[in-house]
Amino acid sequence: MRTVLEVADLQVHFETARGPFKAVNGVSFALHSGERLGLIGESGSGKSTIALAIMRLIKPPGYIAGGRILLDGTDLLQLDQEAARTRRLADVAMVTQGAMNALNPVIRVRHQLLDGLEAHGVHLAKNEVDEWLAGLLDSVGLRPEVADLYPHQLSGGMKQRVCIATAISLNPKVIIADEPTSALDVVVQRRVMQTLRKVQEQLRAAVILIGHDMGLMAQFADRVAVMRAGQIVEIDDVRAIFARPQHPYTRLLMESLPSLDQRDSLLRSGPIARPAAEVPTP
Amino acid sequence: MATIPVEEIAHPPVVPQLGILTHLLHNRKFTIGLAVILVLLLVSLIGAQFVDPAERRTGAFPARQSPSWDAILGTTSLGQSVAIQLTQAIPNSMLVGFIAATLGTVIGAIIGLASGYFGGKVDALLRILIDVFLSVPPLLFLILIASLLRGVSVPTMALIIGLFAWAWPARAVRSQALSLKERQFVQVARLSGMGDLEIVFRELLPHMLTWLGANFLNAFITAILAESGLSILGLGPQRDTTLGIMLYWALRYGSILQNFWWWWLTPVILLMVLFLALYLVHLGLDEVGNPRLRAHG
Ligand SMILES: Nc1ncnc2c1ncn2[C@@H]1O[C@H](COP(=O)(O)OP(=O)(O)O)[C@@H](O)[C@H]1O
Ligand SMILES: [Mg+2]
Repeated sequence: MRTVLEVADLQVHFETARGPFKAVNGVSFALHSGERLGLIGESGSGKSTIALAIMRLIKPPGYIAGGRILLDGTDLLQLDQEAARTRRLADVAMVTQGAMNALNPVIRVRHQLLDGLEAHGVHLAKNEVDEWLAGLLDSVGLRPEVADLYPHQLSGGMKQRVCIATAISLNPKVIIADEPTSALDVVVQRRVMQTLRKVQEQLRAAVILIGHDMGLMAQFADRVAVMRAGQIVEIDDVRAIFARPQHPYTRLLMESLPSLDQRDSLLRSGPIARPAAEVPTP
Repeated sequence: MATIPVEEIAHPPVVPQLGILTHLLHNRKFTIGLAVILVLLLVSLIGAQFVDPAERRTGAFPARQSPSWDAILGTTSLGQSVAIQLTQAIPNSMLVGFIAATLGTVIGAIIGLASGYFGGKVDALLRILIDVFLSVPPLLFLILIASLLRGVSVPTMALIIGLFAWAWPARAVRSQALSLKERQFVQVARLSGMGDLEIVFRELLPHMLTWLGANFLNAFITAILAESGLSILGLGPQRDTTLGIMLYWALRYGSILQNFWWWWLTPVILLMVLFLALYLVHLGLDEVGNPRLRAHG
């Protein structure tokens, strides 16, 4: 399996009155092409900070204190501002939590989608625009008319679909989804995750799914990394983690879930999961 | 492959919205206000084409005549037709308002956006500049500048007024930018690879267009008022004719005391009509400005 993204010994600190706070403290992992990696851990464990470091959007008082982030062999941390900017969306896209506020309320969906393109110097001819928009919206399960709506005319699920459409608009190699469904109700959550999975498979993009819902992870991820206090305490195949959690903290997370039997059936029959045969066996 | 369930997709409230321009043109206050302004302007400009230059000279008409067929708005003590003066005064006064309001609004928006969005040292510097301009009484400075520059022209007058019209919008735009830049859609725009300038102009500026439009109209009114005030004080563009300059001469020749009502009342009424029309446009803009209100209204 080819590695698209490799994070090595990443250190992200926040300057505080009591000295640097190590929000990410020596994190390493590799992401294979087309892989779905779950990043799980309690709130404040540093998950979003890792995502923002990969996007090169850590802002003061935060700073990257060390490590490497290799995307297809290029160290993103060595790029200048402008090069880092053009990598966003084109190579690594991110879907944020809080879908309700992710879209600009005074801009139609059409322009929200096109602005990302134009930021990368891609200008579609007038007669191509509608077709391109319709295709993009269709791939996330939205009708073409949605392009001409304002965000307040969309439901939460539709908004998050628009965000996913934005994220895939330039065929990125890696999509980071930071608790993409946290603001949505359970039914909508599931459908949005299905959509994310569908587009991910079509693009063969690798995905990092950040979340704290073990059930959702079980149905989506190939591998799971468990974070605690800025470190990855355990990273393994999803079935292995569920069957034999090694770290006490992982076991603690598991206890919030149904029994082992149910967990196993969750893995196998969840609506988002592939047929059992395709889930790599430990 | 997972298929996408359709319930959510089947019933989106797909009500394509009309453009903001269409909404504005359907708004009665906006259209009436705009129509009045355009009619005043066009009638003046077209009327001016039919005026023989000789008729503009002092003494071209018998002095101090009340309205008649020859001079429908009467004549001045200097033997000029008030109606003929209007054909220059109206466009000139509007020009002062337009230039000053455009200058003030554009400079204010740029400085406010730069200050609020970029923050840091840029903000610290610009804030001092804004505060200085806000704390000096503009009329005092206008009087000072206008009296230093003997014989200003209409565009110079507009420039001077415009230079004192940017600080207030700059402060308001700055505080809007400060709060907008923390909103999540700005972070999402950054994540989409948009640069600072793109974010400022495509993400933040659209939120302020209604406010800036309203500010433009306010500044328009204020500038015409300021021009009139300065002109009445004798500091106006005395070689050109504006509504303010017409008032200056009318007052100087004692038209009120001598009851030449047509002379002083005409520019006063036109100023009031102009303000009212601009105010109507302002009200219409307010009603249409918010897409949320439009969607439910
Ligand atoms: N701007 C900031 N200043 C100081 N500390 C921060 C800042 N942003 C995040 N942190 C700290 O970094 C840690 C990790 O945060 P985050 O990555 O958002 O966690 P997660 O996404 O796992 O919930 C938290 O303890 C948080 O308090
Ligand atoms: Mg987070």
